[in-house]
Amino acid sequence: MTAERLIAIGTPLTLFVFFLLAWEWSVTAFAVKPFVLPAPSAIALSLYENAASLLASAAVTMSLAAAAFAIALALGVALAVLFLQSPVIERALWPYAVILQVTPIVAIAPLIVIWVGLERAQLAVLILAVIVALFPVLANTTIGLKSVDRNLDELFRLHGATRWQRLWLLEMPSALPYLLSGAKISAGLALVGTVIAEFVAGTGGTAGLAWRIIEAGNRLQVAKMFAALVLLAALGVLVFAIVSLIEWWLLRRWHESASPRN
Amino acid sequence: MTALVTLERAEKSFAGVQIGPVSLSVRANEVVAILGPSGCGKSTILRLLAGLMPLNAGLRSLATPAPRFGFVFQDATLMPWASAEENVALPLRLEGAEKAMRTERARAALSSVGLGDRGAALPRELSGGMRMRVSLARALSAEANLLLLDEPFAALDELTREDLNDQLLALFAQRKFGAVFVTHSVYESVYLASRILVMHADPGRIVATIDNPDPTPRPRGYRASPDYLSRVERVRAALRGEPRP
Repeated sequence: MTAERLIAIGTPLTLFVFFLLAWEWSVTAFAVKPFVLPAPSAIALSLYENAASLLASAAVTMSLAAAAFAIALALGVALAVLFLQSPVIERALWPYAVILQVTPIVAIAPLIVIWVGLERAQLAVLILAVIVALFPVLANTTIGLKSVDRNLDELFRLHGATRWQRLWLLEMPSALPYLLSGAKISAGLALVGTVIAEFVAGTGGTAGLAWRIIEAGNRLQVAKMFAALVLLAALGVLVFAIVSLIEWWLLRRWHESASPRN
Repeated sequence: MTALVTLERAEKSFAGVQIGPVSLSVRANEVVAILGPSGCGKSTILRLLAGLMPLNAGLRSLATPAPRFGFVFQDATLMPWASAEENVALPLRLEGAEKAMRTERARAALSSVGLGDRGAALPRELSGGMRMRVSLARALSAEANLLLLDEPFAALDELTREDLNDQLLALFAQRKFGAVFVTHSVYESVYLASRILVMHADPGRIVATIDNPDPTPRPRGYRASPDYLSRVERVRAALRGEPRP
């Protein structure tokens, strides 16, 4: 390993360890009560002791978020392609997409939960997470599909390309980098949306991480709340890393973003 | 010889540029250069010839059977996600050719521009001159008999440009297609063309037609010959709007 690489990995790692040590030390030194701020060691212990229930909940949250992300991706791309075919449809539907995007999800969530029914809370969570995750994919893919090189566009027309050929050979590949950068945001938002929706659905039968946080909070088990948070953050990082990896893999050969800077 | 494509009193206003009326026809086996200041509508005329834009007034007519167009842009305009071979095969693919035939023709076209061994390379793995040659091969792959070139070598260094000029002349001699070549370079226009159209702006119009009957392919020393230099002077004078020397 080169010295440069050692510094690149070592610096953030050292900082993190230092942060944990400082946290651990302050909690003891200033006698902070564990229900205000537990020490990192207490959080780790709680994570270990509650591993079974927390991991089961993480699996629930993760599978819902993954499903929401997949639906948002498919729906976003399909709508963007539809918008490309017809500017009239785009003008007609775009405002709704914007309205769904700018309305805080916590304000819509109770309505969706009521409409879908508390007995089907998971479906409500899924719908809410899709609503949150849809917009970045939709907006980015819409722009991407329109960002076709003008000259290539003329070349396709000159050689009598069909609508279908234009879409598959020109517009979709041109839109791919945009789509993927939208997907990266959407993947994180799908997780955020899932957790928010779980919070709102509350005790209605979802067993996700949000419910573990509420449950632990009610019992003042702050270390367990933190343990659930740590898992959530880890899930978020994992999701981001997976989508980034897919992005890199798909674009590595031809796109500027995937090439080394120098 | 009948014209492959003809514009009669064509008029177009596009992006704030007023063009025409312009009349022009291109025959098989002739290279027409269009020369003029920026903004006089040279590129627009190419697009009008190709039928990529509708005319505001005037007529565009094609030979029967209709010519097969090949277009070469100012930059290589390759699909960055596709290999050189896939880029070259694009016109054939769009026209519904079988894969085996596409591959065979694309390879032949790449070989004809000296890139037979780079078919698998992506555009970013090629130099600017190579990319331009891929672009040229693409225009040739679909058996184009009317090549439209929009300042294709403007962004290349002088030597690469001269090489590509020679390569283009060799291809013309071999394949006998018609070509319209937009350029900013007086030298390039005289070297390549059998007919040079000089345009002025506001409105974009053809102000002079200068023939260059010297046979092609032209030898390397042609650029130093008195014939060449006197034609360069005539074109330059026409461009400046001076009376004919």
